[in-house]
Amino acid sequence: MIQVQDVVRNYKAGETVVKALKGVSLEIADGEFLSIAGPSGSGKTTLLNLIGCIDSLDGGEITIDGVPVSRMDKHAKTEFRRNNLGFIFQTYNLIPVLSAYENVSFVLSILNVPEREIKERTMMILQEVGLTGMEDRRPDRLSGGQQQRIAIARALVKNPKIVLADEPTANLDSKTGEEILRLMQEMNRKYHTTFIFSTHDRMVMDYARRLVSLHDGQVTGDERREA
Amino acid sequence: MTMKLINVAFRNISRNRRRSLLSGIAVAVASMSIVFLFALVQGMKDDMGRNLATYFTGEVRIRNAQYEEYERYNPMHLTVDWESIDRALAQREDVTAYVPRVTFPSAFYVNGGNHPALGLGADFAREAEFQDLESILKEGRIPEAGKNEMLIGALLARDLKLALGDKVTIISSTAARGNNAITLEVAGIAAFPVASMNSQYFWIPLDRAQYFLRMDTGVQEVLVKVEEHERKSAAAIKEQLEAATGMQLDVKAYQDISMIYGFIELAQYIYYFIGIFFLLLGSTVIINTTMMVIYERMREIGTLSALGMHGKELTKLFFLEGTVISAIGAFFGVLLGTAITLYLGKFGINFTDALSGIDMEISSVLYPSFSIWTAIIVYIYSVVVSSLATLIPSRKASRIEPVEALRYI
Repeated sequence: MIQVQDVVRNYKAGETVVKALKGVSLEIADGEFLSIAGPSGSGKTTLLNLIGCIDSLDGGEITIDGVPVSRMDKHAKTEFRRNNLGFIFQTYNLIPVLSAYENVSFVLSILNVPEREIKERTMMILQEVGLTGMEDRRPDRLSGGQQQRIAIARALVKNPKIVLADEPTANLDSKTGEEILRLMQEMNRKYHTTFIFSTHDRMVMDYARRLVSLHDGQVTGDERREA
Repeated sequence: MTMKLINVAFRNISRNRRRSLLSGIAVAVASMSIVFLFALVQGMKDDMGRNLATYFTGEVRIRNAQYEEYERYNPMHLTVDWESIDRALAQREDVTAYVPRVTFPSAFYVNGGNHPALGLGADFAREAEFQDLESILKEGRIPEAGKNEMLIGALLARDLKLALGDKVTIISSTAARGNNAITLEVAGIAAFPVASMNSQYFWIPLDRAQYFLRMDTGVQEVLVKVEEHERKSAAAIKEQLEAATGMQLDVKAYQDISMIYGFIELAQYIYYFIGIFFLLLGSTVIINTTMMVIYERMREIGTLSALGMHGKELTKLFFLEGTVISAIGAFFGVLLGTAITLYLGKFGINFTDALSGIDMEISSVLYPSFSIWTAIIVYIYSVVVSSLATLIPSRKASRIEPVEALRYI
């Protein structure tokens, strides 16, 4: 369970203070497939970053499974991310010098998982995302869709509680984007991992089982849908 | 994990080969220069030590205790008794060779004019045990005892237009404070390794020098070669000889006689520091490259941080990249430095023009002295210094906030 309570985040842009989030409150249950929607500058990415423990808030509190993550120091946040969170980025953010296999397995190496288990889990997740036979390819030899599949595999291979995806389909054509969303849906169902993804694309929103709308740093809608 | 990081570090190096190559070359040039520089200084020191020991002071020099005080007045009368010293030194086990010498300022009377030169009276039979005179003999032969003959430095012979068989009259002050002259025949022309000896010295048989300078059986100095620990031996020899001869003697190790040798020893330490600066200079290229790489890979740092890599691990990643470049660069640098040193150690570097007119106990052709230990130490030293230099920018990677890094364009 993720609890976001009265979260405030301000940014300084020169002399001006930009209020990115103005007291956002939200509860996200385990296993949700939730989309944070809103136009550019509405605070979607900021909210994702705060839940993902890669940014610090100026007010309010975020707890994950009762742990007040927003109060953690830098080291504890990193440790929390390492064990509990997976990330999918708009621009995939794969390590260019590593192969598909190595990009995925690297996450398990950070966790000091035994080498044999790393191999088993990596091969299995790559099969799940449909990349069998492409393990040795480096990102520059893969399409955008394939790269995002690696990113999904990388996010899921450590069995995280939560996967955060910032505009995961924004760099893909609509067909590939839909494939990625279906894959994320499938993984959500299969592993019961909480998926939180931001978007401003209507098609992407349609895949969410819960749609939280943000506008000017405030929640303007919270809609639950049938799967 | 470390193995994975090393693997990633290796691959990252190949991302921008030209830049990695540039950093590696900077470390390599610095390492190469240090290996060569150290070998050259060691070669100079060894050469000077050898020349001092062979031609000027021996490893231990024995003189009359008052000689140094009056040296500027050419005190030919302040001699030591060669026969008693010979007897005493023959009993010492730490003494490997010793020779009597008489050095005297003189003038060559040639073509109606006087030309200054330095004479050296030597027992050529004994000198054969002390040095390889035959190898420096360019023309003719070694003078014979009892004959008015000389072995002359090649440059002095050239300057005075003297050839084998020529006879020349020498004028000098004697031990009795009078003047004397002797006519000598050029029996041999020598190419001494030391420029000053080549251009200023002529050697004559010891008995003729003693007769010419009215020194009886006295000699000005005795040069001694010892097995090891020259300073320790000098002290022991002094004690023994003074007891045996009843004379006050000045007995010194060569390191304590030549001021220039002292300077070279000092220079060796200075060069160690210069070596550090060479490497720091080379390291600035690595620092700059690592800094550029960190800014270039800012998003990657953000991603790795988001995936759960701690600051220390990020620092380690960039540090390893710098270390790998340093290790490879230093390896090739030391290898090249070794190759250059070995080549020049065999064929030498000719400083004849640079050293002409300089009164130093150093050879005109210098041979850098290679030592495998120096090469190993320089390698370790190069890798450590350049790697530590990489640590400065690498630490920056650990301080970057992931959210800022992910936003970085």
